[in-house]
Amino acid sequence: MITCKKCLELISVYIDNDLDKSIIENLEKHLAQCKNCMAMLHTVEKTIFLSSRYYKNKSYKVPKRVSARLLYQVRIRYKKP
Amino acid sequence: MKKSDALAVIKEHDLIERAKNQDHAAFEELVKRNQARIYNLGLKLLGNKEDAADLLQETFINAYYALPKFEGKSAFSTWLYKIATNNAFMKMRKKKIPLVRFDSQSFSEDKKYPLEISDWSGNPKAHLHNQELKMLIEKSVDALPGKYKTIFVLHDIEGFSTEEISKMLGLSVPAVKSRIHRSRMFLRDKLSQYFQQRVEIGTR
Repeated sequence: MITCKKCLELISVYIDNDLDKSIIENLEKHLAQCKNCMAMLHTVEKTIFLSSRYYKNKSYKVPKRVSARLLYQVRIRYKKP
Repeated sequence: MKKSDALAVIKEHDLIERAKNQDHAAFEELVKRNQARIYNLGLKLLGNKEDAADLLQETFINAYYALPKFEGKSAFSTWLYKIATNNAFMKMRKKKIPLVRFDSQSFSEDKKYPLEISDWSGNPKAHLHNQELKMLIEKSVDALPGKYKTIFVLHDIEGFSTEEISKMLGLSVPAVKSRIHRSRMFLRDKLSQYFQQRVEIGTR
């Protein structure tokens, strides 16, 4: 039997599909009966979805000035090892 | 075809070999291909453009000097991330940003059972463009201790595996997994404030 506490500990590895089959079966049995743990699972999944989507939509180009300074800083090091 | 155009079609592996043999143009091509990823990593980890630009520069200068030691055991980008995250930790230390200590320990995993947990209403996609939620996500990720934030970003946003992160940061795989879990629980707790408030005011 899996307790709520154990279920909570396993939620992330369950989401990442990183658990043994036998544990998955037990965990899913528990989830099917426990509204709280199921809600926890869903809200953790939504957390991952929302934050990863937020940052994926928010990707910047390197400003030209920054890129030019970077190349300059690399180039001045070519001669001196 | 110009020389710079020709470089653009060369495989990364060959560019690295050339750069190791003092082909500066090849190294610059590696910079061009990878700079955006490192710059954006810096923005996420350090939260501002100045620090992200500094991190970018330090990372490639370090990479330039360390290149002879790069053996190709990992992808070049993974190797760069390893350098970049080390630099980010140094910057965080300088700024006295906590690396492993949570300011508030009082999130769900420490609370007593049974917990009363309600699911968040509706399809999360519907909330993606909500300004309040966006700000809360950013603020919450920023509130994670430095090493947790880094691991969360590398795994859940950049898509690196726990094994890759373990090698990058010199941590065991179970330690990486545990930090991913704690970060997610922390963020879940923070974001639930937004959804809880919506349920209460009846905006489903």
